[in-house]
Amino acid sequence: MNLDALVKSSGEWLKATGPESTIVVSTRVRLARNLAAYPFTSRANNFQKGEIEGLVCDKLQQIVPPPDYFPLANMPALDRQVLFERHLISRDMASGDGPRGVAFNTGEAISLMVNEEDHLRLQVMRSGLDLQGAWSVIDDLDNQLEGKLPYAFSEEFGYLTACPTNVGTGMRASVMLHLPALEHTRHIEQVYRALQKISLEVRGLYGEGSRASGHFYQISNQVTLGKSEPTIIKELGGVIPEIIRYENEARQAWLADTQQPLKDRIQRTRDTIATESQMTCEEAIECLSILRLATAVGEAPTLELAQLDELFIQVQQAHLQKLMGGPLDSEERNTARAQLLRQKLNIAAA
Amino acid sequence: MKCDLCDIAPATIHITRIVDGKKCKSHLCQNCAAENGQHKTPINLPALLQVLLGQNDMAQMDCPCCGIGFMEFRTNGRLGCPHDYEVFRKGLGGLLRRLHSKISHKGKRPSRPIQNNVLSQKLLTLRRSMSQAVSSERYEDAALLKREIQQLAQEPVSHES
Repeated sequence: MNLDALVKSSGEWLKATGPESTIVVSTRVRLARNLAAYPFTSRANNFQKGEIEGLVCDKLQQIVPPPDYFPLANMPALDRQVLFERHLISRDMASGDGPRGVAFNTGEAISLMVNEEDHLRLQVMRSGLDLQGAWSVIDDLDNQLEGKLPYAFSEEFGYLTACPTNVGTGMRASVMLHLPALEHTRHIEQVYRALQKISLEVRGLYGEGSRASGHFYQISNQVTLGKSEPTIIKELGGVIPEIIRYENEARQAWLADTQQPLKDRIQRTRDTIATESQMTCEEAIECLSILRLATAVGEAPTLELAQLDELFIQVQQAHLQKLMGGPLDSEERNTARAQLLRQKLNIAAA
Repeated sequence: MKCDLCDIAPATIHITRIVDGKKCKSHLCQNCAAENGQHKTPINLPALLQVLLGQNDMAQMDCPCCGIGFMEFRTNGRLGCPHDYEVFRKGLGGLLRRLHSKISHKGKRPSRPIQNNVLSQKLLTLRRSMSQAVSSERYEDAALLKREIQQLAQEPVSHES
């Protein structure tokens, strides 16, 4: 698999083909696993990390079908950034050092980080709202690996992880939602507080520590110990339809609003794309977010959700530089970004 | 000030009551206050010390397998090896309860036999020793430890001990 070719399209989980795709971009389930006889990654030296990497890579070849493995130790920084922007590795992994890597399959629906905070971080991504489907796939992958690798497990505490926030199931199930209307009506704060009360966490586009740019919110379980995986999936899955309903109601209210009409906002966004000769990543994401909303409510018949979701990734700095064929400084990136949006969205420069 | 009742021992307990809207003060020694049911339960100093010493124990505790100290974990938020859950059990209990409300696992478990705990701990300790041998340039010791690790790692897995 070639990383240069990868940037030209998005993973299959970003094709807006899953249930509730107008609001739910994707579903992700990850499992944290460690090898019993090695120190956790932060305590392991490079020799030990190399042994872990070798051991895992060897066993990964026995998975059906075997995913491609990309070692990160000698990978150029730009390529590592591409993997981060595609949600295949974490920010810490992109900037870290020592033996570590990521394996993923062709559609990027299944990926596996080696020597992240835990020795193994298995991840399954699905389009739309599909917690059960994601759990089923990752459970199968985990079952295949546990037969080959001696996991650190205790009958009392479950799967043992470097951080006690993940111990037990080691599972973090999350759903990425596009909630521009709830943010517009300022009801998002109420949703945020209600979710916190039932031990669910709200994060931004790139998970832990990231801002909710583009009106994207990741909602995930906080508790990993004392609840079974199906219970966690069921509890999270029970809440999401309610948020979808609130967002849909807020969208209809915004469409009917005569004071701050949504149609005006959509037109202003199109005008911005047509007139701006330079655009920062944040500005591009804001524009794409409004166009995604416009597409979802039927106000942009020429656009498609999958096309916009792919652009959310491609306007980011590493993807942009790869697409343009080489390194660009900040000003060049902003110019290239504005051009890319006009070209891909078929909007003529004004 | 002497006790209002015995007029001998010094008054150490001072009580203020409102009776029929008037403020009444009394000053009692410890014995008279106890006899009259006014003595508060004294602070259980041994119990308090035990708690403080307990924390002190944790603060000075290191994992024999990976060498991480409990305070280092509290500072960085990351444990050093799987065995730390056993070593720091006392200090982790409250934290796990705060994080997850419950402290026992309810989810899936590996269907295959789990690597023997004793074997895992031995391997962890040997790996640490080997790392220390390399750091201090004792390469012959490191080579011997490496061989021992390789032999142990080949041992068949057995149920958790």
